[in-house]
Amino acid sequence: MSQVLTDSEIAELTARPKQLPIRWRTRLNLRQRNGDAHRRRDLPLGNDAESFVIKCRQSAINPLDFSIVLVYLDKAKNLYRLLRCNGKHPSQHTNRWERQQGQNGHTFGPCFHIHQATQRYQEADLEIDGFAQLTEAYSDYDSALEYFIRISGCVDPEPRTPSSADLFGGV
Amino acid sequence: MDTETLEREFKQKVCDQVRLNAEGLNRYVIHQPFTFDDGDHFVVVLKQEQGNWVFTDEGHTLMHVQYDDIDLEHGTRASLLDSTLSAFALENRSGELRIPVPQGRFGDALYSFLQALNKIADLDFLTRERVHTMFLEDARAVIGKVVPESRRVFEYHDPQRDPDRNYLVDCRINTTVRPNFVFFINSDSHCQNATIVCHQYEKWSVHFRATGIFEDQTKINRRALAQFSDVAYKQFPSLGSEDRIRAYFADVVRGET
Repeated sequence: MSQVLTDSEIAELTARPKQLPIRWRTRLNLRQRNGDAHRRRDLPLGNDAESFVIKCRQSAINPLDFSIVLVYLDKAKNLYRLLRCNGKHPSQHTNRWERQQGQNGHTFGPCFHIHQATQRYQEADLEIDGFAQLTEAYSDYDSALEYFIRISGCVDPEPRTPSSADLFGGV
Repeated sequence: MDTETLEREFKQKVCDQVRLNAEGLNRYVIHQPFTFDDGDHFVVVLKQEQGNWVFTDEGHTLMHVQYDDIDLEHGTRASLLDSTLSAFALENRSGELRIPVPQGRFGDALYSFLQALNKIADLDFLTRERVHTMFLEDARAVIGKVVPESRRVFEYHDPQRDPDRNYLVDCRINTTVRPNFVFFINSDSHCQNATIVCHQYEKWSVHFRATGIFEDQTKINRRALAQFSDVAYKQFPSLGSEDRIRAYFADVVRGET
């Protein structure tokens, strides 16, 4: 049975250092085509009782429709989606909790947006990462992946040098 | 195409919140209020291909439903997906869901498409616990198709040696040669338990053969799997190989294995 994660637990889990393996970019490369309408790659991190997985998904028809997800698995192997960098899928997003509260601006898009786990969504029996905010921090899958790595506590064994980063749009 | 007329038809057939945005040549994005559980709205695109109009989700729906590694190729979820696609005349083209627009009936096609997407989005409501239950039901159903009721006992225990039901066998199949004990294994603990049960029956000098059917053998702890392999006569890594499972149990019933 999943537990409700508090906002401080979510922040701690997201920021907790997670060592990436070498050649992680290759392992999360979604360029290979196999004829399916979407491609997927998973990268498990850690073998402890608690662990994390980075899940990458991308539509083969619309490359701007992608998701890069940080999943936390607790000791009982319950899954919690902590963070999700979404692409610009051709549809809107509605923050359901904010809509229920009668707040303005609960629906937006299509645009690049980031889903974040929140305590209030879990307590309201909504999806843990149902809250999302639009972002201009990335503009395609590759730049989203670099941004995701920066904000998800991942420790890159092969950080890009400033000069190589320039080749990738300054990410 | 007269987009204003079309949008009016969509509003009339579906709801007032439907909007139509032209994006690209002969490609229109349909904005509508229906969402996945996480608040992302369904992707609905109307586009023309080789002179024919189709609604498509451009592969988004199944990608979204499978964030949590939901298996849509086997078991109950696969059956539910197939029956939904069939009921609403949708095509699944390697993960892209599509519905053609018949004879200019755009509103009707959109209505059916949204209904189908709603049902498919519900597939991820099925919790892990529920899926485990489904696995047990699916596994029992496979046995039930091949083994006559008079020859099988689900949740078998030995009434003399084990009156407290401490050593349950998921299914005992009686044959003319020796009983076959079948275990439906969906977790490490169930795998370990199956091993213990087999050792106990061996200790009681019961002659039997053990068969394991796994929900997903790749997810079982290696040590637990190795221990079970020591006592099992036959193992099936998942229900995906149903034809082979049925053939095997047909042989068991005939006393040929």
